[in-house]
Amino acid sequence: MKVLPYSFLLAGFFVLLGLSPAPALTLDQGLTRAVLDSSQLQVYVDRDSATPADEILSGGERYFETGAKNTYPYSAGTIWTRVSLTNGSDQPLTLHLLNDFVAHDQLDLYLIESAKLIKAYRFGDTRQVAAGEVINRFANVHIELAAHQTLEVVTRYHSTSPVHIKMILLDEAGYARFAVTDLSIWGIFIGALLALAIYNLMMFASLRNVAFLYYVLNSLTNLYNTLTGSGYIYAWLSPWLPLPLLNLSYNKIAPPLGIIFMSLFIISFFELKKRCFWLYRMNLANAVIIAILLISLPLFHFSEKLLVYNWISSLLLPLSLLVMLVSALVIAWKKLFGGVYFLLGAGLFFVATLCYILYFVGLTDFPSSIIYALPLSRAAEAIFFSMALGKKIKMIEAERLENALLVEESNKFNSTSSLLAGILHQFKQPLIYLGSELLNLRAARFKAGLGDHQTERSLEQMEAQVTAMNTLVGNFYSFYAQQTRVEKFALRSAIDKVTGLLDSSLRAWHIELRVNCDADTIRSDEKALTQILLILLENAIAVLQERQVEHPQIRIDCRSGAQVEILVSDNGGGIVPGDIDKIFNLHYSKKQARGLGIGLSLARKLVEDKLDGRLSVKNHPEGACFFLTF
Amino acid sequence: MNYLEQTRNMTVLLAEDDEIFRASLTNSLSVFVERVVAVADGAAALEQFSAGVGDIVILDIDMPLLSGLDVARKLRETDSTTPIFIVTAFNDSETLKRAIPLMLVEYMVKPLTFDQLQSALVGSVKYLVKQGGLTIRIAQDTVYDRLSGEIRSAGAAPLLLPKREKQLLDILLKNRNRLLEKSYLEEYLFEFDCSETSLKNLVYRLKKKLPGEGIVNVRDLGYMFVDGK
Repeated sequence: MKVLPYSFLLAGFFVLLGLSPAPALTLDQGLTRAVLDSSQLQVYVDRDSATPADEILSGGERYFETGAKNTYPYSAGTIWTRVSLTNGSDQPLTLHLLNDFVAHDQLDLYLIESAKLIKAYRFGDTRQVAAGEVINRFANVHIELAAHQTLEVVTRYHSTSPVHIKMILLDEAGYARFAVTDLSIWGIFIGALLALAIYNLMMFASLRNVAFLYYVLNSLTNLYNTLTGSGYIYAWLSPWLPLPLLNLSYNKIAPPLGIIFMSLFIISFFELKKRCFWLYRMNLANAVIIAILLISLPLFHFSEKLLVYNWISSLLLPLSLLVMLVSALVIAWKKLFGGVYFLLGAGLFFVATLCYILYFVGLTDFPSSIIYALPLSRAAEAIFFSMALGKKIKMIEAERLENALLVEESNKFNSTSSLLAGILHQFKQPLIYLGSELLNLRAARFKAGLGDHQTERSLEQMEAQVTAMNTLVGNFYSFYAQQTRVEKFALRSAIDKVTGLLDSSLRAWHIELRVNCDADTIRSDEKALTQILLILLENAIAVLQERQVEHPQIRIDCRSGAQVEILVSDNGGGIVPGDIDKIFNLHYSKKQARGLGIGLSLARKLVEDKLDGRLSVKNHPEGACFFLTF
Repeated sequence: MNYLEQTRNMTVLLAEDDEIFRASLTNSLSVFVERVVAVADGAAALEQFSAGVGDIVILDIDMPLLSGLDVARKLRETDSTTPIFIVTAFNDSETLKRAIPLMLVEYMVKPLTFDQLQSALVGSVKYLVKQGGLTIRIAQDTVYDRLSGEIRSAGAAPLLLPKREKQLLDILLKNRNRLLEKSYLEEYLFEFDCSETSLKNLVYRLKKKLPGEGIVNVRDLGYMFVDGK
């Protein structure tokens, strides 16, 4: 069981998550509980935002009641909280009030002494905040309490999403411990991100595969998000980096940008376009929708409707994460290379991010250590990802070898083509002369009135043979003399060129060929198309021949609309179900000692490279059906 | 009607650049038609045709200067009654498609078989009949049969034209409403082997047999056939 070691890793991750240190939260000087949960908070829910702020600030105690919970799932209105802080000691005391509010919200914080407003702070979306006031997701207020002083803290939340109240009160020592824990855990996160970014950049430089570049961009976006999003790192770095400037709308730009890069990464890394088209479409749609959201940001910004933007994005972003999670599941299920590692790594990260979002939106009440799920999952992702990468590198190597072989094969075909075309052209001349002389002879005999049956019959036979040879040379010539270029041509005539070529073997094996083509002229590379059709038909003939099918039959059906669709099906019994994924692989051949296993993989390569299309195969009740779209 | 009989007094204009094939086909054609004029390129074919040569035109596609299709296109600009058929070394459906508006009798791949040649000639005669190229209305109630050289009027016995008169009428009709100079006609009809009055006499004899105006003498320069009102 290969899954076992991974499930251990997974279990380890969740154990780590459970054990991750919660911030040390003890205070002396009478304040024993630092997390101001429902037992200490007084709350007032103002559904219509109708109560004047002045009234509440000037001692409107009658509005408040003891909070029974700390999640208020109202999408409109205002939540007020009130808490009283007393310094019972003879020493002045510095306290740090961290309000862990959703970054989307707007938050006002008022300090009141004896019904008199001393200080007011505002945090959130509607205005630019200075570095000292807000450590990002925390509204961080430093409160100086003189000996025996009592202060009232009144907080006003305004949000379009449910309000989730998590207030932390720390003394100097607790604040420092909290900072160190936070810093180290986010340090892991940043380290992992940096490592991934550098690793992938090197991969991109050496392998020239654009997937790695998308991953670098994704890592950098996440790095930026972390730098600006993690409270303490932000606070520590802010003196040196112009973060306040960057911070302007980081939480609106970075997450969507990360999702866009991740979608593009998934598409290109797993080559979804050719391996799983619907998944490719789904991820592309995901990226496009999020890109539209991102582009619309200035619109909301300048019309000061950022809260509406938040509402939309907090709906869309979790959805797009779900899409990615589903993609990871499908990729693992379809056993695309390295898919399992990707599911474990990226999937873990998606889940962690989802939990994180759910936590902040307040829909679920995870322990607050959930925020550490993010850095841990990112670290796990780095490990799993390097495993997937190993698979990918192996695959790219194999593909390069294969490509070299196919290119060689294709070149061989081209040089043989021009050689054959030349020879056939040379054949044509004597055939024409031979035919004309026969004509002359018959005309002369006609004129002279000679009509003995024996001679006439011989001459007719000779004429018929010359004509047959002439047609054959003509068919071969028109196939091999084609030039590689994209132009308009009649699909039917291209098919006829190929079938004309195979006429003799079709007749030799009594294979019935049905062509059903209602397509008119198309624009494409005719030479490549005829080469592909030749491979498919030769393959079908070989199968019918080998399996000794009764009434062998090959059908070609085509349609042209926005895309050209060509179906080549036979009644040769189909492909062994286990082999259906392998038949396009190089060196796969079931034809006993006849095929080199190059034909079908060359066909697929030609379809992808020259026609920019797709070639797939399915079994139908009677046989195999190759499906070509471009 | 025996179609193949009809070609006996026709002229075929053959344009083909391959010397051997040209000679060979000329030989075979001679069995069925009166005269084969064979040229080696498209320009020469046009020249001959405008000089009145060719009841049936056979063109090779690949020729220097002007391709067979180009020649056919040029011919069709002024003439829709002459049967044209194309021969080609390699059957190419794209070229075939471009040839459709040229109303070709046949599009054949070299070499031709005996049956193919016969059926192409039969096809040409049928085409001529269909296009009205065999009988020409020259006046009210009077038609001229180009093949037999008969003039048939309503209520009168058919009148058979002698060879020279037929030749004269043919070339005049081919160039209706166009002046043909005396010297040109003399060369065409007598190959300079004539006295000054030969042409005049010939025209006089022909005019007598035709009803209405028909042939007019233009300022002593030459003659032309004018359509009756």
